[in-house]
Amino acid sequence: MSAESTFLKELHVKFIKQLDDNKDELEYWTGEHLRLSGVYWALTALDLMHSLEAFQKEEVLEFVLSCLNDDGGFGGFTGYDSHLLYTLSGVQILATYNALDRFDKEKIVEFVSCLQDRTSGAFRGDKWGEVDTRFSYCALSCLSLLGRLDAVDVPLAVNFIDRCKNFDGGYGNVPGSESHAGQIFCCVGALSITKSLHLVDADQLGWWLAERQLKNGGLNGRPEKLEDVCYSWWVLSSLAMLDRIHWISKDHLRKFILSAQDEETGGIADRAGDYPDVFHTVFGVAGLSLLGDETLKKVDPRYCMPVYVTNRLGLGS
Amino acid sequence: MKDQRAMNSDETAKQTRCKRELRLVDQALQINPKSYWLWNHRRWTLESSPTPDWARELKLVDMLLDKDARNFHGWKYRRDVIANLPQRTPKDEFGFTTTKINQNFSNYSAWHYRSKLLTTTFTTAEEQQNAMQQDFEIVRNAVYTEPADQSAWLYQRWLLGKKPLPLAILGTCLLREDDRSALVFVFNQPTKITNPASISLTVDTEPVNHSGSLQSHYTPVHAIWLPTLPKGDEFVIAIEKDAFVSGSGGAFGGRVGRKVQLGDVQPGTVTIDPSHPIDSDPMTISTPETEDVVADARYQPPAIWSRESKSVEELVEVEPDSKWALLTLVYMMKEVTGRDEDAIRILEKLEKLDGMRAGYYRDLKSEFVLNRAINPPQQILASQTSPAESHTFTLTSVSLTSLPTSTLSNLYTIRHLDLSHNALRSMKFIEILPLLETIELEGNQIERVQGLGGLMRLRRVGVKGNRIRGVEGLRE
Repeated sequence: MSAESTFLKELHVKFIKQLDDNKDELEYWTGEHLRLSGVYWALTALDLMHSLEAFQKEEVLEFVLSCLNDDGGFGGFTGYDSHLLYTLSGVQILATYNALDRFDKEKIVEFVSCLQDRTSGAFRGDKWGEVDTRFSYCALSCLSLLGRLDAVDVPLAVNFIDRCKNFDGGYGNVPGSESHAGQIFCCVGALSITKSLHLVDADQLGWWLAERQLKNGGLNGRPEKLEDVCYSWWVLSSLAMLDRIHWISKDHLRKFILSAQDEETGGIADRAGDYPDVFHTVFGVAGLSLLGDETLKKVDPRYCMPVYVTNRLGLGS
Repeated sequence: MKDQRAMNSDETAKQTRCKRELRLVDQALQINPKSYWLWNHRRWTLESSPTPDWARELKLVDMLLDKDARNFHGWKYRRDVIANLPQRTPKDEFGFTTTKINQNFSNYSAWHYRSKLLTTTFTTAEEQQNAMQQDFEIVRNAVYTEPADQSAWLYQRWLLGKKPLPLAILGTCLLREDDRSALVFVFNQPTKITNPASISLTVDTEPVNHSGSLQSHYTPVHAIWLPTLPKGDEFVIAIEKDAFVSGSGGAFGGRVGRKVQLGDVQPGTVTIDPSHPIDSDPMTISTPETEDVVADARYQPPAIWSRESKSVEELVEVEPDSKWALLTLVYMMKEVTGRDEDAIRILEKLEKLDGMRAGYYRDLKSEFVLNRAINPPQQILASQTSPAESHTFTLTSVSLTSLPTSTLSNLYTIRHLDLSHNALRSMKFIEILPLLETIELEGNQIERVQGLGGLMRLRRVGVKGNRIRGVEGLRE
């Protein structure tokens, strides 16, 4: 069974199920502060692989609830301070489990809307003030899943993102910052969710994104950098939202993602030969779904969640 | 006096704590110089310090960017530091990017920063143009030295600029069927109706009810449905200022609209006026005068495009397989007429040279193939005075993969379209052809039947031999 040609689904499900058993590994603990995102990555990968039942729903929801703070935001783990990154992950997990009404939606909405700077339109990640288009995406995606985009100044938020556009058609983390595929996903995703894609030069940016594909079929995040499976998501979903996936070689990318699978433990790494982790696993699986793998559920490129979940919320494009 | 001393000792204590904090951040950054929150914390510590040493921070950033010239956290932090060092001018920073580029032509981060600095360093149009001409030289040097480095090629495209496309109306049509009519506006770029009530229609001064186009997306074609169209002599369309807006900020509208002699308008007739309104108060087209529009409207004159194009052609003679040079040549050919054949030839070569992006090259080739086949826009407008000529368009078996709406809009009077036996993936483009009666798409690669909804006159769609998986928007 060659890792390069076969998707090792059962092994990946096993890998994800055993994530919580790795308590003797340092990475388990150094990743504690983002555990809630880890759960969202794991759950989404499982769902796309038709294996959502591998996790116990009530156990997961209990954990999610334990991360919810009084201010309406979620922390990365029980007892951690609230941050937009983990608030989005929390809401994404709730949406996947169709459990959004189990929590005080309005408190979450208030937490998110208070983080918008009403002068620039930008979003802070938390009360300590870091501004980044990643947080614009988290806020707008989160509010969209909750059906409450009206709680923030959307035109102003869109204007901030537009000001992050660069000479190459790409987007950075704040106005003036260099184009980077991760930021591009966040900006294009946010613009798509707020029906503002007309602000993107789709031909110019689509081409810049197509140029991320390297000789080995993998994608990098910006010029002269190394390929990485996670860019199979950041770049590919952006191309999908711009309807230009056919501008890269799907076959070569698929082979690259499959080559990064770990044939022994399951899971997907950043590239062939490296250790797998749940972050690269979900983005590899989501990438394969976008490339048209029919054994996987269809993924929504705007949300990195299964289409049946976003459809259920009335968010069909 | 006692309060003053207490305050000073508080400040000193705070400064000491901040200095200690910075040492901690230093240690952490040594291990992980790419952590978002570490850099944010450093910035926060400096901003919280009673007496921050921003000059020292600049030296640190210099050292970091020497070690790793592409660390985008470092570049961002540099901009945060510069914002706190008013004695450091944009010109100084512009000079810094020159140093970095001279150290290494493929320092994309430096070229990017330069693109932001150019218009703040040189503030008059003349100074900017001089700086840009100098930069064309730097680019030339860079691409001749290392033609495989993409940074300079991308910067060159930015220098050349994008052709401004002022919002214009290509034409309006009034379509009459038995049970309803439609007023159709065709623009040269996607627009949105800001408010349906800003369009008013009258026949012999009696108001006519209409449903404004309710699309939430930008489209070049808007159809306004008229449930009834009474007979009369004079049909007047009045559009308020800024009734239509384009994605790039242009707006279209005016106080008084067009008059059309209706007479006894029979069902099945089409009244077209491709030119601008003929009234005494013509509709105005306005564009906002913001910095962004000025920047996007920066566009080098034909002589510069010509010069740069020649330079790239010379490079291609020396490096005939240089993908970046070849692709740049094609990019430049889009701006001139008469080079469709050359562009098609180069793109076929690129499909082989750079196979992974074959899909992109095929789409780009389709633009030139379409251009080659249709008459240039001037001729289209002229031929509209004899409608018999331009109602049919045929382009088969030329491996078309996509149809750019910007070029297709010029064919908006088409009634019969035959694009069979190509490689089209989507048929969505037909929604911008309001007069379409028949469309042949046999033998393509279309997966969804779509785009039919607004086409009042469509009676035949040929989609045999495609990959149809789904159908959208068919009405009874």
